[in-house]
Amino acid sequence: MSSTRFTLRALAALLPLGAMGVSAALAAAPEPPAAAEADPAARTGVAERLQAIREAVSEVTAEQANLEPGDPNILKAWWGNGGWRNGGWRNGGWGNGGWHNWGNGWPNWHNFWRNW
Amino acid sequence: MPTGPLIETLVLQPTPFCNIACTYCYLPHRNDRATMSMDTLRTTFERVFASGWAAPAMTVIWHAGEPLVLPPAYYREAFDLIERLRPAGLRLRHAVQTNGMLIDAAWCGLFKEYDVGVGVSLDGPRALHDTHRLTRSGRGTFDRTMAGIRLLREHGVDFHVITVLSKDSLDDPASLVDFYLSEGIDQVCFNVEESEGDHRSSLFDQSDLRRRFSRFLDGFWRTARQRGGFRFIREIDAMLPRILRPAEAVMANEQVVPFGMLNVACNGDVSSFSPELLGLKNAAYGDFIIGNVHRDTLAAMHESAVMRRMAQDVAQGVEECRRTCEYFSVCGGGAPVNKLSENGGFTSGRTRFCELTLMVPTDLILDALERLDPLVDPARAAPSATDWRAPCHDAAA
Repeated sequence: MSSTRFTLRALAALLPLGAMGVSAALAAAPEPPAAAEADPAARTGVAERLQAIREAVSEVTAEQANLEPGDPNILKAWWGNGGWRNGGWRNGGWGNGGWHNWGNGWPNWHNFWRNW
Repeated sequence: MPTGPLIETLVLQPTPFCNIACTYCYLPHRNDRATMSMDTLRTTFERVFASGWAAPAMTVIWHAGEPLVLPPAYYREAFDLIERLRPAGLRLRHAVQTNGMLIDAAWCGLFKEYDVGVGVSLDGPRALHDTHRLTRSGRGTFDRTMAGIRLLREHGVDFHVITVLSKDSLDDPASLVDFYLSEGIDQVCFNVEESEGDHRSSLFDQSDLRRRFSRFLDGFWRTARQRGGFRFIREIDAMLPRILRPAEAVMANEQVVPFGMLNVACNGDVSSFSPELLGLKNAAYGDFIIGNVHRDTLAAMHESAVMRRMAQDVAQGVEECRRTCEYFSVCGGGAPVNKLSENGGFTSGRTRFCELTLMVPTDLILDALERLDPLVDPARAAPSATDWRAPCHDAAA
């Protein structure tokens, strides 16, 4: 079974939990053995994994909202647009991507300028 | 879709002055007691609203210096003035980032009345906080910051804390969890002490910092979610929707988009991109100032030579990130100020700051997803396979 199918199954179970539920569920995943800690600089395939997850989220969201693949309403049905203080999704786009001097989440808050 | 710039965040500097002197502060003018006048404020918002470039939902962040060195009456007058100018249909929320030391009942009343977002800078328990967050005479500020936080709680004012992690904070995430829970702090954000402006971080040169921060964040996340009681852990919870988003969701990074963030100094000088640029100087871009609200329209600032040069170089840096970074899809091109401080220019790509703020949380979430996968395969489920659901109920309660 491909990793994408694994991801589909995991996401189908995870996404209905909502943002805090996803955070809690992932935090409860088994810890890796200490010896298995990878060299962070040696990671590969991250972009592909992220792309596979996005495709799987689209598929799972469409399925759970009874939408056809490619339906523009998939974005509206996605959990990240469900009103949780999730860090800045609004109007179909992501927040400011990195200012670290601010930190919270009105839909136009938590804009990831990290000094707020 | 609008074709011009879209101002989503307006960062205002009501005063450069700060009442304390943190050892890691990057602000160059924190002794300057100048104040943004109501005339400057009015002109700023007249310019912003007249431009037609204000986003439908805009955040106004009052970020000094220490914004609360000005009295509540200043902000009441400012908020009322802005409200009178606000176009119908535009949603606007005010926010302050404060050291908390000056918070009293009057401030709490103002925050509640105007639904102001409040962030408090707190570096953890006394020993950690008082190592770096000092008065001008070198005394710790922990007691006064905690007094402010307790007042916020007493008055029912929602707030989060930003904790700067330094070399002494990274080894014991469980103690930080205990401390936050004991003080009723349930929304937390972590910044790793970084190199910006004149400040050189004591951490950034450590070769094992990425691994140490990863261990810290993983430990904090696991412990906090296991214990329950936390509503928001920014480094993880703000990254989740970036990763677990549908392919249809467009990634944008306000910090690399011209005018996505507009930053106004107390004298009306304006910059864009990373707010920290306001007040810095650089051979290539001068003082990063693209105009002044008393003299220039936003359109003129947008077309200024400095702005065009910065925009070109920032865009080149974004392309470098797009071309070379595995994490581009959850970032969108990094933080210009960190590229400048760490690499010497906007045109560069990856920074140590990227590693910590984007790569580490992404790696932790991807690894957790991978380890969780077998547990949700019914064919492979062990008797304890549903255990992972348990903390969700606790956390959601």
